[in-house]
Amino acid sequence: MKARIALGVVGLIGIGYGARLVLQGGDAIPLRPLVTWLIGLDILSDGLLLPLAAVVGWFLARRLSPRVRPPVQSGLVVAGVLGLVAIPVVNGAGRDPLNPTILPGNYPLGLAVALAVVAVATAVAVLIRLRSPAMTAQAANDMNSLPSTDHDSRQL
Amino acid sequence: MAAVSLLRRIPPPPVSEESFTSPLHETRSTAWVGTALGVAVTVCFLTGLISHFAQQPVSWLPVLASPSWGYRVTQGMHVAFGIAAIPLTLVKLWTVYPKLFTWPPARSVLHGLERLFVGLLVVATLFELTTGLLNIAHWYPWKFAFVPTHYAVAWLLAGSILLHLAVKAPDIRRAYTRSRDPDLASPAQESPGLEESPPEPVGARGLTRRGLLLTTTAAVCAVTLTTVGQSVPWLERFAVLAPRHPTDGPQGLAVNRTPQAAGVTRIDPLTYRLSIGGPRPVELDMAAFAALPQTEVDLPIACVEGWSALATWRGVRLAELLDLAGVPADATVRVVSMEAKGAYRMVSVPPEFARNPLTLLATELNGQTLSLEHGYPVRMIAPNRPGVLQTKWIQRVEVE
Repeated sequence: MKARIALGVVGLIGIGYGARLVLQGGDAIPLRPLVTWLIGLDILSDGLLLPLAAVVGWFLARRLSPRVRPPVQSGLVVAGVLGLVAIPVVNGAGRDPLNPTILPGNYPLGLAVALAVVAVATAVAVLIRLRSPAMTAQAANDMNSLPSTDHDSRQL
Repeated sequence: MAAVSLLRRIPPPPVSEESFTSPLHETRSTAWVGTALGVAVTVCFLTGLISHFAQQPVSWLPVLASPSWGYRVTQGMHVAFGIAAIPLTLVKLWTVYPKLFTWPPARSVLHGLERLFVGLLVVATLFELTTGLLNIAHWYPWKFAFVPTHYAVAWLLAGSILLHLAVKAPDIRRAYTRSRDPDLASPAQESPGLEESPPEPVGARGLTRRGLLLTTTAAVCAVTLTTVGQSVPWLERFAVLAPRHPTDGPQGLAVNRTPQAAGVTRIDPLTYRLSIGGPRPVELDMAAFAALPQTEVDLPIACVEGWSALATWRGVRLAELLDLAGVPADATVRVVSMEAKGAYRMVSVPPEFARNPLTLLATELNGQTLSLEHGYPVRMIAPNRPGVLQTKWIQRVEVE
């Protein structure tokens, strides 16, 4: 318990120091834009990205058989994360006509190739699971133990 | 307390914590992914501090000129772990997403405070990862200065993580104790005595917990493999999403600050003079500089944005030039660029760097005369230093 309290106090000191840096930041850290960014990013993740993931997950639970679902879920997560990380380079807002060494790649092509690799890996995983008799038995077992399909459809 | 009891009486919203039935929203997934994220954020914070103090030295911290590749590694890690933290953060947020809909929002004042600090942790994490990711792509769609803001919010993030660990310590301990259970991948088979086990058999139907961890690992590998080649040369061919290809550029090296941006567009080699201040001030034209003993070194350019590349530089040791001007060995010197303006027009060089035998005022890069982009006629190259401090287009060196 003592260790926990000490850890918590150190944490509060860190937060206090960060808050002091923000408040003393002057023109370099204007508060309104900073707060707008902090809250805006939270709205984007909690209000847009995660609900979107939940809706897609709900849709997959309704439409895909249990054998196929996990690799498709995995593939979509990896593809989605790649797509997010690629936004700044695909968008290309940082390009500078005077400095061709900034964002020198063909990023839409690069992203397409990366997504294609993920799609192929997902397809292979789906095929393996469809062909595996053990999986079939397990999936069948799962189907039997299922209380009701209606219930299943609500799993996010 | 009145506010809290008032909150209790408001009917819960249509989406509640119980709306989420997937087994992936569970303490153990959270603790495992959280541990990985904690490691990544710790690496980012510590390497960030190294970078901060390299650029803004303080008297009580020694500056080190060795190993020469030190900053290349720490800053490469800063960016790579930051990128790896993006999937970890998203998965972590996913596993705890139902808690966002906890009703009532605060059971007590303490619970409300705890949730506020969790909110701070979340927004600070999202802020650091997003601004960092945009910054390395030279995209600055904000009205604050990146460096001080990223630094200040890093402290908010570090502090709120420690506080979070202190608050959640029992949950984390329980999650790790329970994970010795061999059936961790299928919660349906857990013995009923264990608390928190989901009421319905769902584990094997969608992604299992183990599946989620594998997926998270795959996502981390995917974003790392497609970007880390800007810091790790042998992975460069996979770096299809990296903002830089460090050996792509004039004379085989990328450029950050262009001569146009620095306002240094014309230099006349006939009238150019490099001046070294000191007890016996020296003025050198290009011919006199070339007549001095030349040294060749292999040193990396390592940018704050994480990209780096090794290059071969040729020029005169800064230490020998300072000796020529009679500058004392323990003096900190200032290198002044011809740049019209800019935060790094003047750069302080403590004796650890100024007297290091690897530190050159270079005139050649990879066997050719420096191009204007790389700092013609003379630039500094020193070991273990952020690229922004490797001053280009040097006008003079003076004692600070």
